[in-house]
Amino acid sequence: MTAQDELRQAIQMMQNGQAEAAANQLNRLANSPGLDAQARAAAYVWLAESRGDRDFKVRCLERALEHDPNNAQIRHGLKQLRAAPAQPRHLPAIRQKRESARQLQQTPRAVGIDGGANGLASAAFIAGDGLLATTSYAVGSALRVAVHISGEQEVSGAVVRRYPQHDLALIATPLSLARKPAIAPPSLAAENLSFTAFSSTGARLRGQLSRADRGRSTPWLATNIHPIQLPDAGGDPLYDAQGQLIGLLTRNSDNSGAALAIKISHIQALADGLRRERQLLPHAGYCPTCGSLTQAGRYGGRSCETCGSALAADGRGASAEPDRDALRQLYGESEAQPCTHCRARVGQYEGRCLRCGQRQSSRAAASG
Amino acid sequence: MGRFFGRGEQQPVESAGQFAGSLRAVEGILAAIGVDASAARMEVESGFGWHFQRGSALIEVYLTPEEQGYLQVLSPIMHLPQQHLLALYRRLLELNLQLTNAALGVHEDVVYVFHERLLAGLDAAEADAIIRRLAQYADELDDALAEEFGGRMYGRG
Ligand SMILES: [Zn+2]
Repeated sequence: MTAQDELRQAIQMMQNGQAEAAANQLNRLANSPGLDAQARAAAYVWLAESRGDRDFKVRCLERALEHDPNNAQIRHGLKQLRAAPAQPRHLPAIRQKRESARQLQQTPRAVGIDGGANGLASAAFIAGDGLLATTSYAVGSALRVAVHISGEQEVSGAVVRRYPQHDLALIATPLSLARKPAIAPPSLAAENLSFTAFSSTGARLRGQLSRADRGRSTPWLATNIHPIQLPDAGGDPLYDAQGQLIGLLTRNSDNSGAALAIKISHIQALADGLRRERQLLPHAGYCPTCGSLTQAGRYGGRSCETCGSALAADGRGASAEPDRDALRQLYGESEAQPCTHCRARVGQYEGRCLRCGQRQSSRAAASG
Repeated sequence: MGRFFGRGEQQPVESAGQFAGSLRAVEGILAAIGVDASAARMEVESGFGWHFQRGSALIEVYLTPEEQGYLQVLSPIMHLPQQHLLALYRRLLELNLQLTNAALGVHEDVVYVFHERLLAGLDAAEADAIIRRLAQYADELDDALAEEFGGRMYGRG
């Protein structure tokens, strides 16, 4: 296994919550001659995730910055960490609201989501702090949605992250749960497991997982339900006979036309990833177009660094003067090697400059 | 500009005589909309080309000799800026979806608005409408895009 592969493996372990094993591997990799400076910096950034205490995190990010001094994200994360007192591991968006959070004694099986892109949808609580999961399709580019809970007043939920490639959206609510939601262990999702899908409309669908979960890496569960049977836009939570959450039904289908569900273990891994992102970038904004966190607004940028869409005026920083160096880093327009033809530093694709489309002359590139 | 897609239908290639007829037709159309075709003529690798000003927009017209005669009308809008390319490319694709009978495109480091159609059946009124529309698009887009993204407007130093 190359050092790069080992780094990927260690990051995966960290994402799966195996912090100690991951930290051991990352410690070793951070000094490995097999990694370039940026990869070593990445090892330190992930090492910072293995412990909660701030001083440790600061030391890790300082080492990361030594290896990758031009990395604006690390620099920014370090600044935030130094400025703030040690913080508990919560999403800031949720923490702020928790002071006024109403606690639900009973965890509802399904809640209704209204105001998204495709009409009424369902969602499920996936953590005690009131974080909801539904489908990206259901939410679309909405910033806020109405959350309906049977027997409760409607509350407003903030879409905090969307993963279109996994068809998942996470929504923060001003609610907390008296008891953590019951979540099935990852080993449970097996062929022929019976489930009940709960829709916020009150409809119930009984079904079975139709295929063994062989590749553990797939985020999807195949069901024997057809998307046309769904009573709403999707996000209907699936529960096993013990009432444990095993996934969320989506309107995606496999080759046989059966609806696919997102595995709860995958949803939780993405939610954990969001918590880490939030720790590193506590003041990042949310881009409703692509669903990612964006820092561009903080530096005076007008477009999302991930998808390029224009950010809403209130999502941008108040600073009048854009921080041009930080933005160049963020937008990937600070390549060390300028284009041999037009001198732009915007990078290349398949050997051609992303600005002028000209092939790079290797002689000039080599002499730098 | 090289083509990625074929034009679909494979009709018999125009004979030299038909192409000469197409050439006379375009020159007639240009004259009918007030362009001195011989003064506007430019050297091109194959086929024929003309360029002239419409309002603030520079218009280029090409007659291609391949297959059947095709009329291409395009107007350069701006040079690509050195920064914020992702945002600009995205905006161009968003705008592209809003244009009627025209497309935005990039060739080398210049953004163009473009229209193409079969020459057969084209009359002066329709050619005039095409050129007017393209000139109007170019005029609206160059100011807006240059202001937002800071690229140098085409032909304005
Ligand atoms: Zn270039």
